[in-house]
Amino acid sequence: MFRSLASLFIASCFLPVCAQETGTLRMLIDPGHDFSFIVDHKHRMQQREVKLSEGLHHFSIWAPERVIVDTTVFVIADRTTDLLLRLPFSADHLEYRKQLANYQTKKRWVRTVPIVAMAGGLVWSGISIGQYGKAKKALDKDRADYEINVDPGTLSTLKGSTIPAHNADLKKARTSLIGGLAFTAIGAGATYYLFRLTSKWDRPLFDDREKVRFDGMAWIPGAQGGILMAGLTIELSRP
Amino acid sequence: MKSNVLFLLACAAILGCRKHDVDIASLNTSRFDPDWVGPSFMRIDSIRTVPYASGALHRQQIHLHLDEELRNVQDYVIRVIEYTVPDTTIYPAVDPAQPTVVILNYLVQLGEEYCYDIDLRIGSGILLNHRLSPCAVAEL
Repeated sequence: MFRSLASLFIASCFLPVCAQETGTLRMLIDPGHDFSFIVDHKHRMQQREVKLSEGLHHFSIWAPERVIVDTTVFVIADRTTDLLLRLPFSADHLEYRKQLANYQTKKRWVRTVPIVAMAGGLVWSGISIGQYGKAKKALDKDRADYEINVDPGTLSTLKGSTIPAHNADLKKARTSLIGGLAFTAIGAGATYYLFRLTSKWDRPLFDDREKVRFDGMAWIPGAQGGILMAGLTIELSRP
Repeated sequence: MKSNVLFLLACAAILGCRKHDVDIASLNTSRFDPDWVGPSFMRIDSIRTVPYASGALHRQQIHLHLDEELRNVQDYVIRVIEYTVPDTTIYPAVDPAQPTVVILNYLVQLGEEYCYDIDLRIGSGILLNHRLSPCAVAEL
């Protein structure tokens, strides 16, 4: 009798050990950081390796901007198994990226065009100033020639064709300069206005609905019996 | 306020550009300019009739005074047209130190009036407003 009881006691000590044999599951998930998973619809974890009892386990894996991937893994006792998985980007995130790219491209263009126009106006003004200076220098030389020259024929040519031509060059350069300055001023005004306008544009926000869904998949009990988890995204960066 | 000042400065700069034009109408300060409207380089001091060849013939002498500014040019010529014959004579530039050139007309009849056109030519052009047109009766 005693021997039977002793055998039963020894067997009862070993039985739970045999039933709880564990294996290790190594998570090789893309993205390599910041992913979470829920094992068997109950336990939410955030680690790269997990020890689990032998058998089939259900995993819900999620990372920010990615979709939740549900999969089952058979854990073998006393062995390390690798779970290699790439989490695809969520449709919401892809749409957000598209909207953000459109927003940035549109903003960049709206801001760049007047700057380019202003730069063009400055270059135009600079060229006009150069031409004006050249024409003025030519007229100054003509005036000096008039004072020192004693050949009536040369003076006639100077007054009849050379000076009128240089006067016309000066007038043309002046008109061009006024145009360039006006263009620059309009470009500067447009730049100021469009920078102010675009700074008020609303930047697209990413609402990670997959996170909300993932947070709702596990209920973690706390010291007072449990907590409710909810996801809230607050955009802190400036547009 | 600041932008208004900048705007006014820009306007002043643009308007200031206008003074760089050369007003051709007011360009008449050179005495060598064909459009010159001031006093001539030449001035007639006197016109005399003097006998020569022992008194058988007479000639007219026009004493022409030339300004120093002209004499310093040195490449001028004086063209004299006498209308009675008619006859054209070219007088080259004189010594700058000598202020007077004497124009001679060797064929004059006493009692007759002789008219002259005295032009000044420098380089490639004639100085129109320095032209003199004196007339004088040949008399002793």
